[in-house]
Amino acid sequence: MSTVKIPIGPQHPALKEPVNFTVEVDGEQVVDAKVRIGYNHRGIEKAAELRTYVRDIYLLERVCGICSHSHTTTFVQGVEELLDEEVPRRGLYIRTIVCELERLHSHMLWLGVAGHEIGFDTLLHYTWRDRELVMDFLEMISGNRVNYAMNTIGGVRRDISKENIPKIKKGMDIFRERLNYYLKLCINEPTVLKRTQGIGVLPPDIARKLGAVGPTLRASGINMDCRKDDPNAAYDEVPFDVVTWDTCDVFGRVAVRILEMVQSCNMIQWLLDHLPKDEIRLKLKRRVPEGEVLSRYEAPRGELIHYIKSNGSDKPERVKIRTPTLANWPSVEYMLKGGYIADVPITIASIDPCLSCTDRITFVNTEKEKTWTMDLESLRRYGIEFYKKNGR
Amino acid sequence: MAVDLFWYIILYLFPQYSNLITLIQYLLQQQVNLPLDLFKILIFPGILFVSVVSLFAEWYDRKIYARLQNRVGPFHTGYHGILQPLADIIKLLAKEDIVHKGAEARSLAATPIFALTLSLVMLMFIPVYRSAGIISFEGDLIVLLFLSTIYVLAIILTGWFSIDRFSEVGTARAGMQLIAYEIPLVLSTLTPAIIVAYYYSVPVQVNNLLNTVLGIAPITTPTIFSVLTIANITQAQQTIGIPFILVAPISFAVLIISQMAELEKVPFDIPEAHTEIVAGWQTEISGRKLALFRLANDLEYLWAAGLAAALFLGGPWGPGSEIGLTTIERIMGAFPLGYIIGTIWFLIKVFAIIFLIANLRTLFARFRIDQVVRGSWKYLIPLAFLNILILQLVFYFDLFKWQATYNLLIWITLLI
Repeated sequence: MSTVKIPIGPQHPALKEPVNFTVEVDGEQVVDAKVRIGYNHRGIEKAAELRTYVRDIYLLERVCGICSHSHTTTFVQGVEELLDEEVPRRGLYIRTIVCELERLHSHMLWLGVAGHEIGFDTLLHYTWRDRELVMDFLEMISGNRVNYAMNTIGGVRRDISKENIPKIKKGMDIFRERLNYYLKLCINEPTVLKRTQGIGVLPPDIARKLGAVGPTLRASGINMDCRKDDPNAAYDEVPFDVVTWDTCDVFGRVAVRILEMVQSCNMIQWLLDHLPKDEIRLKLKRRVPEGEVLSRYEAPRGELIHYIKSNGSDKPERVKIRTPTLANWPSVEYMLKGGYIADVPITIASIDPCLSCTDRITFVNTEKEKTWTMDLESLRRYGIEFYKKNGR
Repeated sequence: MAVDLFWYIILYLFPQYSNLITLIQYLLQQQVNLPLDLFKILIFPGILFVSVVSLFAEWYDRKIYARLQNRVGPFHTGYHGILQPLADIIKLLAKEDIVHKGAEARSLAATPIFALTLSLVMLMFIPVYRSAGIISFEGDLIVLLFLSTIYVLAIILTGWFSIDRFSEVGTARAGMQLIAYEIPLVLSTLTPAIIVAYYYSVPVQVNNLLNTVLGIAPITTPTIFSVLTIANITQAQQTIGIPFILVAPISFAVLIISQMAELEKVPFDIPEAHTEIVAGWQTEISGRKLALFRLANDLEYLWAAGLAAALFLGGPWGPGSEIGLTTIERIMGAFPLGYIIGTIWFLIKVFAIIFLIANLRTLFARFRIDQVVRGSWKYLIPLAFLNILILQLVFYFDLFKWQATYNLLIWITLLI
């Protein structure tokens, strides 16, 4: 029997951001799947090279709307390492608190999206209502709901006031209660189980081979978390467990994310209880000595890597960002094969794809095995000439 | 006499059309009250009434669904957004009607009209203010079930004519879903007919007994067609005094589930699952066509609730709907008070069923098509059969004491 190629994306209701999947189906069964990315390139890495380190923080905050704090955390801790300076503990604690609040709202948002993908809109509306609690705390701490602008080189920009601490601690109790409800719901609701159990299976050995990261990897039973393996900020002091699940399917990813949120609630309460009394930031030099650094951090979606190369001036020579979504694409291709069309959206969503972080552009000449990049002006000229030559 | 002469002349002039002329003559001789029938079909309880009620039902359903999900739902047009469904349809009617290259444009334009007409015709079978709907004849339940299958055919054809990959998948899913819910739907709608058949067969049995003993003429046996009539089923619930949901609760549940599948409501919105296949069979439908399809779907929703109300909840009959009725009027319904109370009871029951369906919609995640077909044949159909089996046992052992009561009555009458 002949197969039909169904394009999913770049514009498709299941996808919140542009990406293209060409899914080859035989009836309802998926035979083959191909991922094509690159619809959302914004040239952030190049822009980062043209700005000073301080301005880069605010630029990199806008790499992603959800894990904005993760990108700045990774960037500033890389720069701090280049400068070889100790950041005050209070600053690190507050940075960690915001990190964990961000994880809470990111995972909660994902839970709603996952519910929507399996046609369970009630879960979407409930989780997004509860997510507002965290958003309000973030606004209370930083003054912003999305791009918090908390991080700066040498610490954080705002302190958490005494009055706010009990509010946040109480809020975390409420949030944990809601999480227990969602965990109970996801474990007991038969339609949810039917749509998540045994779907998008990623065995541990293949997950390791394809380089999966984050909750996707931990749901395959592999204990790997940057916060434990290579602790940054205050993660070396906070007690927490790395959540793993051994079912290797979408249900495992749901469970891992919900249990991770419970851990985050506990961590935030512990951090607020043990907040040190010293400074929140350190004034540092604007010029960064020559050197290179690889900074890692466990973003909500998985391990995030920033590579920064400095040349002694106040601007970085190169900033390279490797986002968790990019690392997870090969796993998605593997997971899609052999499933049903109905399971495609939830399988894609199960890695929590974030495309605005991911897309890059590189020109590759396959004949000469050479890669190069173009700046905006030459790319513009190239485009004009291309269309003059080929016409429309 | 002049009329007879007229027909005689016509027949003499066109002997080759004698059959046709006789038919026309017969139809004209029928007792047709044209203004009243037009009022019934066009205004109440026909097209205008059901359209208004179905638009209100859509608003009601959306509002309940939204409140259960902690949202406000439609809010701006009219009082608490009560005019929103109407506004949606007017907006869609004004929109550009896009037909893409490669689609079968004419057939595609015909299917929404087809679907809308079908759903309006289907609603005319539903009893609104008395036991019979506008259209009522012996065996109309079977015709109605047949029409509801044809309605799905309109959906399948829409997906088929709009040549598109997503529509194709949606169409295949709609067809698969039909296989899943059709049998349980039919089985559960036949259960009330079985009850009615038994109920009316009891006096016949007793009568036959008397006939053999005393030589009284037997009364007519209920035929298969008279039992498969919505009017008779609704009337029987009024005569017996209990709605059939109490007698056959499992069948009622099966009916609601299979109607949700027919209406493509969550968790059975598989043919139009928008996170998977954009909008399924209606991906390429826009503008006027979409407006007509929306109206048709609303009417279909009302039809499903109305059918369940008529078969299992006693339709327009309820406490108080017999006020001021004589025995004959009790069967025919009486104007105006009996009709009004009947309509109110009908609306209460319909909105209770819509409330139930809106509740169920919030509770589940969408199934996969293979899970629906498997679940239907593994659980729904055996459940529908189980209720029929239970009823047969109940009737065999006469647990409702219908036979015993009749016997008693007959013997008392004889003794007197």
